[in-house]
Amino acid sequence: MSDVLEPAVVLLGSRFDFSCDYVASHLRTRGVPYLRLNAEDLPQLALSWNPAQRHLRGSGPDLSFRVRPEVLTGILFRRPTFQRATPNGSDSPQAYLARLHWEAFLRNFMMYASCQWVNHPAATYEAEHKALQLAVASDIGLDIPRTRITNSASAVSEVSSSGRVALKGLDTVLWRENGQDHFGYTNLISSDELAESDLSDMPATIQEAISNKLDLRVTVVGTDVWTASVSTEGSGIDGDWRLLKEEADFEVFTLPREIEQRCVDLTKKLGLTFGAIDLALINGTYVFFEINPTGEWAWLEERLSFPVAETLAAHLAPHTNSEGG
Amino acid sequence: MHPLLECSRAFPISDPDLSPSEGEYDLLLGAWVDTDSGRFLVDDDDPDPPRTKKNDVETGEDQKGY
Repeated sequence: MSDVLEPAVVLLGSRFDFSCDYVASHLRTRGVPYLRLNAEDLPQLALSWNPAQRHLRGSGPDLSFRVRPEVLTGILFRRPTFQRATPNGSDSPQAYLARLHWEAFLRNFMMYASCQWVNHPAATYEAEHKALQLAVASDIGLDIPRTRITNSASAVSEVSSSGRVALKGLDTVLWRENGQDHFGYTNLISSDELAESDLSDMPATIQEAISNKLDLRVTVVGTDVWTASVSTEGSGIDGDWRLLKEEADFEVFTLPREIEQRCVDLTKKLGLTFGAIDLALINGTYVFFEINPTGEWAWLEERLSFPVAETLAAHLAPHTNSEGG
Repeated sequence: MHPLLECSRAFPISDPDLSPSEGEYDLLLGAWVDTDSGRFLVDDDDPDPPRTKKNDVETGEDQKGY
């Protein structure tokens, strides 16, 4: 007779989301029964959900489980909250629809409303909206760059002060065309050039260009905060540091206590337990750029020993400890 | 063309195999495992642990890409 796993924690991710491996490791150490469901593995399982009882049964190679709300304490949700049909995508209609339906399947874990979510999909969906983030960050007391979300080039002059502005998408800029992937980073461009262009077809985010900055990645889990500075060859990075990610150096950085608290407050205000916040230190002022509810952190755990995974495990299984008790 | 498209960066289409070079994914344990030791690869004293997305092709951290 095979054992049926009744998990206290469910991890919803993908096979190559190695962040989940770190959390699984800590749950294992704590002796917490957990179940990891990856979107790409779901077709291998025989699944049946009874929504009236909120019981999910599943079985597959070497795995048999039953999710019950009476046992469940936490869910780690690391899936997209919505997806796009990308132009020139290579999915067949069936593959495309299967992908959408499995993501919907995973989102339906929201029926387990009383457990600890990291993060709840509805909160993630809301928090991913850039203008909303900036508004809430400003309300919290964080400095934000001078910003316009606009489809009118006349707004450039309201933002520019240095002859350059930062141009960003209001949403992810990503498409596939003619055998290439195209991705939009934060662009520093001439104010005059942008003021002469036609933005009418879609809104964009235009912000004052910030130079001589030190980028900071702030990782928040509940009331715990870890901060890393991002630099190259001892200096801050002009523009989007992701373009230099292979050359970037990450070091532990100590934020002032009041800035840490505002990051905690922002994360909580957005209904999140976890947040990956991008700040910049500019001439002694900490400026908020964005928060990512599903941001990466495992590379910081690897390089700087930030105990993010252990802290997440503790949130998901609050009545356990790291010694397996 | 809208400036957001003009300013975008183009990359060769890349769908790399992200599987770690050693070990295999264990469906029950829910992690990549060293088949010899049974340890999670992320716990191994390996100078080249499984890489998180930060080191992979950029599709947007929130996975709203493909």
